[in-house]
Amino acid sequence: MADFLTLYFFELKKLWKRKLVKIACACLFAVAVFTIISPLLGSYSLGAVTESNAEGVRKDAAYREALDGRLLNQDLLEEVYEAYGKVPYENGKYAGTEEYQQYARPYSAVFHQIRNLSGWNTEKVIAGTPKEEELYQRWNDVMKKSWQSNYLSEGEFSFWQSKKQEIEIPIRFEAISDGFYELLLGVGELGMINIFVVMLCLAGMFPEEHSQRTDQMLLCSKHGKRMLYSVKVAAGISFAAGISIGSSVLAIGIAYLLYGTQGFDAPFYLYITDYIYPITMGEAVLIAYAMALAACVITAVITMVLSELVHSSLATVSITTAVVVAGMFFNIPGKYRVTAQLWDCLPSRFAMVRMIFNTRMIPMPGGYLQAWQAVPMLYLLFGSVFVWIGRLAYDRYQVSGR
Amino acid sequence: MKNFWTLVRFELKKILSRKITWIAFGIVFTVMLAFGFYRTFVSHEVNGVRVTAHEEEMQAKAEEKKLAGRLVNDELLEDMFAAMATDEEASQPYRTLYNELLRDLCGSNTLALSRGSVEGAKEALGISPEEELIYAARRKQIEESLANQYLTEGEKEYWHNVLETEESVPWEYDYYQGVHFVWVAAYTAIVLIALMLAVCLSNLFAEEHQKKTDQLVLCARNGRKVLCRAKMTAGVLFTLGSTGLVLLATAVPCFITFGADGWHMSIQLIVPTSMVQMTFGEMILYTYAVAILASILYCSIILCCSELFRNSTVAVMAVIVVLVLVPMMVMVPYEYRVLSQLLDLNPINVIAIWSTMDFRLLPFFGGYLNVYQVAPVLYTVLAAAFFWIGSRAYLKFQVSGR
Repeated sequence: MADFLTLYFFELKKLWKRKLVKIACACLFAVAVFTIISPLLGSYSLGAVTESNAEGVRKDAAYREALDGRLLNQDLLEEVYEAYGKVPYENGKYAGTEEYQQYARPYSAVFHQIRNLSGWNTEKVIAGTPKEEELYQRWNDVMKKSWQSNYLSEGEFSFWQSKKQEIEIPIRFEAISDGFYELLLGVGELGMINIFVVMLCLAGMFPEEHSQRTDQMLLCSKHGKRMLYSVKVAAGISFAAGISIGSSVLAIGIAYLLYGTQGFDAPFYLYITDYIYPITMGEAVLIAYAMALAACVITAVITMVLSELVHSSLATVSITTAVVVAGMFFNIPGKYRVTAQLWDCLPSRFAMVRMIFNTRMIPMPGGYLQAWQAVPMLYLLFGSVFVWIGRLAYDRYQVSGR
Repeated sequence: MKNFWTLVRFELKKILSRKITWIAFGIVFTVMLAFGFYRTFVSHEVNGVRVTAHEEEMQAKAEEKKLAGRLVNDELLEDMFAAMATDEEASQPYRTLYNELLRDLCGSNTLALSRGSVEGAKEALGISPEEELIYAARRKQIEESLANQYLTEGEKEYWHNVLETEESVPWEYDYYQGVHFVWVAAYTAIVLIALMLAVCLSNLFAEEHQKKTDQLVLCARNGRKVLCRAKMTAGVLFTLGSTGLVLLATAVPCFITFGADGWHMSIQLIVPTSMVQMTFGEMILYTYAVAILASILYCSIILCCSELFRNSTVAVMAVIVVLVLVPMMVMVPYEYRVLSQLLDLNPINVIAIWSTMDFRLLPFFGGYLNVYQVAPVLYTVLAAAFFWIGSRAYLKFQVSGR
């Protein structure tokens, strides 16, 4: 065990000594910080308004706070429509007018909530009238349509219907701090960059034994090759987990400091209105970043095993980059249900809110698993299989002919 | 000739004898071919009959050709509104005109089109009845862009002069999907070409050091100088050949499946707010020429990095991945003028369709140059600079301490 740990720390030291690893991790952490603080940078000018983005964010947060806990019922709808009714819309750019700033902006969070629930664009909402029943009926219809476009099965439909029954109508509007939105928007980008960093840093872990000719020497060492494989895999996985957790903690920490945690207990369907699984915003953020961690770790495993199979760090990076770019450019239409779901499990595609919190589920005996419950298990299964394949390749490799 | 061409041939043979070169080229070539031809393979059922996407597109083309040669003016738009009020079949020829050109010009004011008439739309957009709807709406949008892009006074004056002196010849309409796809496909092509070149060429200089032949070369008859030029020439020749073939695979399938209709049409049919006075044909030729220049620039960066990061080909890949992905994923707001303009000068953004709507200029000896004038010169100069840096690094490298 002591030897295992010695080798393990040695492998980690080898990793961290490389300039590429230091630069890549520095960029990753810089992006994590920038993603969260970017809404506060700069300023904007719109008609009668010129303010810094930070001021704007603070103002809107205060307005949201004032409406926190109000029921989204006929009374509130009428207030919102009355306020928006005072704004002139002739030129299509109403947000810069004084009337908007004075009357409508305090209600803009609720207005956007109405827009999200109904799926109507701004113009259609403005042109309509406040009707509580119509709004919730519309939400119903939009949800059903989205379930249909996701090619959900009958069983899944009933599952979501039953979840819908559990929601009390009228729902309560809850103020959610911008931090949650930024974290959920940023998880995809951060996840992608994490994956690239892991690919670039770990692609050389096994090939360097061959290119530096130390693979022959290992055969003469105390534990031979066998222990070193487990050490390298453990070091790679902990490196990937470390940088993923590090960047996530940094992002979440900064979001907490800058924006606060208001809205941690707010229901998630206030944000993604067709995903009505009973989780809160806070739980959703933690789940999303846990999924990014899982995606990072499985990428590490795939990279290391692939690098041992092809014996070349360049080929490994090329193959993994090709798969990531393919994942970015290509979508499989939803009607090929299983293929599309499997394609969406690709680590570079999965670490995004729309994939993690997807109404398509995985059927199990006795019920359904959500994507964020099933995919980590899938990664664990595939990861174990890959590690086993890698071990076979590593153990059987014959050093010869040099 | 100091065996220069023998060395070039030998270097090319080295590049072409690697499996990974053929795999990378094969994948990129096939993907671009598939992009062009995929409509022939994708089909769905319409009224019980299986119809390919290609057949549907040809039907739409036949409808739109009914408008070929007509001038885009109020008369055409009145016919369009009349047809849309009648029935779906009569409005088929006008679908693209409505969904693309008109929607673009109405911008955020989507209610303008719901008025159902040219007069109604003019009223909603604040255009006087004497002016032509399309061209007046275009002028308004351009004025807005000029205000939003943080331009200097000199630049605004420049563009106002262009607006005044622009030929107000009405555009001619024709089916343009073929030339449109050929134009936009160049964006995907250049991303994949850059990654392919990184995979194929990153070893060119690095392997001399990794395989320890750099010492041997010093004893060779012509030394390092000739070899350096030979390697760079081989790299450039490989780049030109592979890029040429990939670009052909990009353009030819689109021309075959859609036809070259619209070659002589003005690009304003698809980017109405652009003040670049080119036809689709000219734009395609220009874009593809810039793509070739850009590929040589990427080649020069890869060869330079290959020499500078001689111990790590993965680092070379990392540089290219960053150069390619950052412009795709990061949008710097116009506010940060210098950074935003620098990022928008990179080949990925210049080749993209949206750079036609970039009104920022570069001051040049009392006048101004726009991005389309600057890009070819900049890439040539930068490529020469990178080749020079790479060759200096190679020629000054001291073989020692092994």
